[in-house]
Amino acid sequence: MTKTALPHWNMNPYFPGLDSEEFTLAYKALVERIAELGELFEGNAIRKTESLEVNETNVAILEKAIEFLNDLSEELRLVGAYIASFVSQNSRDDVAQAKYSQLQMESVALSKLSTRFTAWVAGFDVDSLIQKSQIAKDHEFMLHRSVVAASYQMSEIEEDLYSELVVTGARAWGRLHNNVSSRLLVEVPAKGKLPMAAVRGLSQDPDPEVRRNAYDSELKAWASVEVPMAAALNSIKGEANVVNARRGWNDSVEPSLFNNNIDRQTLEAMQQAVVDSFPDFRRYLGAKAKFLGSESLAWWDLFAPVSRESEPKRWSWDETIEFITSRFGAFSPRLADMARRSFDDGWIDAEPREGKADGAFCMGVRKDESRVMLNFVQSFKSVQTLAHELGHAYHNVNLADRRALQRSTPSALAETASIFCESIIFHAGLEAASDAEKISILENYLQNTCQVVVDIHSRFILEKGVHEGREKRELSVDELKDLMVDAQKQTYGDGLDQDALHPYMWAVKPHYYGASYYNWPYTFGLLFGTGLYAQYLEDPEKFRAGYDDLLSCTGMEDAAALTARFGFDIRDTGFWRSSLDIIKGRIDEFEALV
Amino acid sequence: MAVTGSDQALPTWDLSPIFSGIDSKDFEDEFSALRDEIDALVILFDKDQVGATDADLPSGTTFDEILTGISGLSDRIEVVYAFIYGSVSTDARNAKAQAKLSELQEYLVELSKLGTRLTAWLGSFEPDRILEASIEAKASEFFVRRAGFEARHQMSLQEEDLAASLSPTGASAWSKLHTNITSTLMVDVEFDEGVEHLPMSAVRALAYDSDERKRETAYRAELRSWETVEVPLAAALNSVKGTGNVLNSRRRWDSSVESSLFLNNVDAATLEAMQQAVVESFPDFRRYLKAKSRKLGKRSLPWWDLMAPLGSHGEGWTYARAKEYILDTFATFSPRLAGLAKTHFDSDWVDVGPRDGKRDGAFCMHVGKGESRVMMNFEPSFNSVQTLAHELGHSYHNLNLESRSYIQRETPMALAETASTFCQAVVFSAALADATGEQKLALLEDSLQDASQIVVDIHSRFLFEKAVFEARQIREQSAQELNEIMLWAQDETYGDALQADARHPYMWAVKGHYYIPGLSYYNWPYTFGMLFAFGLYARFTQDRDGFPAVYDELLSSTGLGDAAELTSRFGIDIHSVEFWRSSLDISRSQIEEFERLIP
Repeated sequence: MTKTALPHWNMNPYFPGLDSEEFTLAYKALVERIAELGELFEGNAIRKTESLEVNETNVAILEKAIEFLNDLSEELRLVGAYIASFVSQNSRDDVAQAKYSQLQMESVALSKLSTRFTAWVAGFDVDSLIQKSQIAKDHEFMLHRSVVAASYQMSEIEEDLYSELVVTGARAWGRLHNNVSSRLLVEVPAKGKLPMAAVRGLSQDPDPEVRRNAYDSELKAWASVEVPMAAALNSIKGEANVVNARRGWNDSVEPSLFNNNIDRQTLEAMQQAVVDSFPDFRRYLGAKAKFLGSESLAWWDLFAPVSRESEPKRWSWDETIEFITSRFGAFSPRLADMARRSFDDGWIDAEPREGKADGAFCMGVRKDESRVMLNFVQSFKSVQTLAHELGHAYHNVNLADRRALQRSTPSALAETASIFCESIIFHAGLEAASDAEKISILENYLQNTCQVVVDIHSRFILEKGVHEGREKRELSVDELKDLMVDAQKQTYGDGLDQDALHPYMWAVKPHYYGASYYNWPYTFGLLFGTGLYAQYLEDPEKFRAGYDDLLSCTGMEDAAALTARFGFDIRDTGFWRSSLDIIKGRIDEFEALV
Repeated sequence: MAVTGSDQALPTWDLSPIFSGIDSKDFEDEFSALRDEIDALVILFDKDQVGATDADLPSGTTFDEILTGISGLSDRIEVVYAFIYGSVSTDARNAKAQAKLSELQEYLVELSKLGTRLTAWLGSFEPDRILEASIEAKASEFFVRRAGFEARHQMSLQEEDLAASLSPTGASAWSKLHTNITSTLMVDVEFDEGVEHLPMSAVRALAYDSDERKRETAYRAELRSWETVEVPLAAALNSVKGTGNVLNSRRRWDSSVESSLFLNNVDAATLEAMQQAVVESFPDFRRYLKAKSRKLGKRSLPWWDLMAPLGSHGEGWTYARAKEYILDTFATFSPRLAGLAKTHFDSDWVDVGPRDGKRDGAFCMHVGKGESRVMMNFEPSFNSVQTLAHELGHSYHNLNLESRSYIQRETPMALAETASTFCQAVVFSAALADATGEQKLALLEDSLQDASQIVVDIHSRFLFEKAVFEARQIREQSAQELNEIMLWAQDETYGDALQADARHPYMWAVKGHYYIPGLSYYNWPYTFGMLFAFGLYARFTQDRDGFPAVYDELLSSTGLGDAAELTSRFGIDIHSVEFWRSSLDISRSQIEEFERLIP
């Protein structure tokens, strides 16, 4: 059997090239459409207006604006994805980078108009709008949401000024973080100078001395850039505090709840269950320490491989395609068909190569078509990653009949389909595995789960602490380090060696340098996906009947309503506990095996 | 007390005529009275609805009470501030004074908010109608007209408020990042004797070392070191200038230069005339640099030789001799100037010697009613004599402003250095006339080194800043691109006098001035200040008897008008290139003398 080479994705169905006439025209048309939208808004006084009448004229304007925004979003998605496909394949592609930054500048105008649209909608009685117009009815959730969103806006002129100042404020600080960390070269004993990403990758090395050296060198390197990093974090959180207060939010968490269509009670229920599960995760960490032959786990051992295989199984691309397609098929022919289509139609870029971005992602391009990028290294972990990203693609398939304004899915729900597909493959892999293989599959799973449950909670604590501290004044580097270590102690507890923590994690994670609390939605996604998978096992037929529709509605209902369809009550700690119990079962298995 | 020789104690200043002490009752009383005064003024502002308004013109007495109120309060705060700052600057460990200083910051914030309201209020009415109605307004006509103009360049209250709230995490935070990075930057310098780990400021100070190997080694180490921090510094510069562009355009300034002209009360025609004369003088300054190269045995000057010392000032510049020298030379200008210097010396209005806990550098502060105090760190060198003369010049300026109210005294930076530079010129000319040989060479080198910075280098900074503002309109500039703009600006100004492969691409990282939020082009006003004073000095040499009275009158008017209009009252036309040429002629004649010394 001949081996198939790892695929690159095919972007030709969209445009022949970045410098092609077709793309240039599409880009130009997009810019013109944004300007047209501006004229539409000016011509119809679409901006904050008190008590707008629900009459024929206004309904017609609303319908026109909604249609326009929907169409424009599709164009923007296609052009944006096309440019991103080049940037992610080659970070040194200057032409693509320049286009990318140009497009970002064009989108400032669009974001100003969206803000105005939201403010305008809030001038109506939305319920009567919905009665008068089918289009309004189709966008009911978005319209109701706009009314709330508008009550958390500054005046138009302030929002307008802020959208310009954020470019040299928070956004520039975020880029500073990115530029400083991506250019940071670290001197590692016996390895020489390595980029920070490579040094952090050494945490997965089988040799404990390599891991330890990498950890020591990493901390030293972060210390050398602590001044700009602390300035960036202080400024981003300080700016968010100022803007949050002016927009009328009560605290720093509130906007992230609203953005995720989740209420505070839900977050608190989830976090309660999370905190209750820490003793179980500490057992896992203790078992791992035992396996590695140490008393308690040091930070540099968190990602150490746990394996009894002399030679880990290597997954060829053909075998991967076969495995995923057949296991997806066991769930539903529709899921398997989509996977087959993604392999046949060039949706996937799997080959790792120089200049290509790290990690993995999936992006929707047009209609029900997506593109998936990953760096496939023939491990079972890579197979799982691919399944995860294909889950996102399947989510996009189910959203394809929705309009752009109906599709907007918050990050807490965006991981639903991906976690579900990953679970299918994880279970299949575990079933097929020998005992020796089992231990490393479980370790991979628990390592990742521990990050999403335990580490992410430490990030939440840190971020909240920074927001609160920054209300009064800037936090020094030492204060940030203390907050971080304290957050790690509160979460990992005695699962980790208390003298070998990571005081610079606030400098590591890019999530702190963008929108606030880009952390707990990951936990939500994992635990929700895990709960769904348990439901599937319980009653596959019933589950299959409701799953696709759930995915198609993630932009049209809030999280509590959506999950209630499956009988879940996410405001109840019990729901979250049952998901964590499934993970706990895996921890028991792991303990027994080591 | 019997003290002799170099151990002789240098005088400390006497602040007791202002308040008896930082712990004293008279100080405490005034400090808490100020609190009440601010509160009272806020109430008055509220009562009179001072702020942007559509209301009818208030009565003349309303304007009178507001203007007198703000001026009177500002006067009193200035005195208290000077007293506290005087204590802190000469004794950093004075915890009581430090605490008072930070308490006073709050007063200043409130005062500045009142200032913003006042500007918006005055800007709401026709200036002529205000001037007609109010006697106080008429007396401060320039202030009133200027406020009207400034109000037209404010955003809406909401926007100004948001911009002010975002500044601490935006432009001000970027500026602080620049300060923090540069002040903590440590550099490894590989001297012949071994590697030394030095702060950046110490490395840059080696540019003045007499040993060329040291200068070159330091220069190379410095450039390598800037490269290691170019990413955050470029981000800071891009963001400060990007913010400047956004705010300038929303405040309806047509160009980035316009707001700096307004801040300095200088019009575009004046700046153009000055810069034309400046550019014309580059060939002359290049002759100076080439002569310096010859002296150092080179064809053109590498960057690390720009500040290299030449000649020798000789010894014996004790404080006693400095006083005597200043009294004698000041007397050649006017008895009044010499008299003021004598009062400073006799009444302990100068804090002279360096000591532990005292800050670096030198300054002059107004302590009320035209009276000043001077602080410096005297070392027995001719350089210190010039510094003392410079600061006494500021004091003389304050003396001439004595009769003006606070709002009539506000002097823009471009005019604030007039009197200080003038006094330095008085002392320098005297010294040059007496000097021969090595001493003369040292004097000319000092003077031309300084002038070359202020004329040539500062023009390179202006060109650089303008180019960055323009490029930033389109997109961010990488560190590499900033380096290229800097090298271009140096080429435009120094030209072939600098060695082409030994310029300084990272000067944009060095100078803090580029990073001050809301204060663009903190460069050309230095040139203006020096050349304006030189121009006045040239006048003085033509009319030694008549000029001093004109000069006093001019100094007393620096807050009363736009620079061009002010000077024209005294028959000086700063719109004409000719005026600036005559200033630069002073440098030109020094360059000729310098060349004669280095055949």
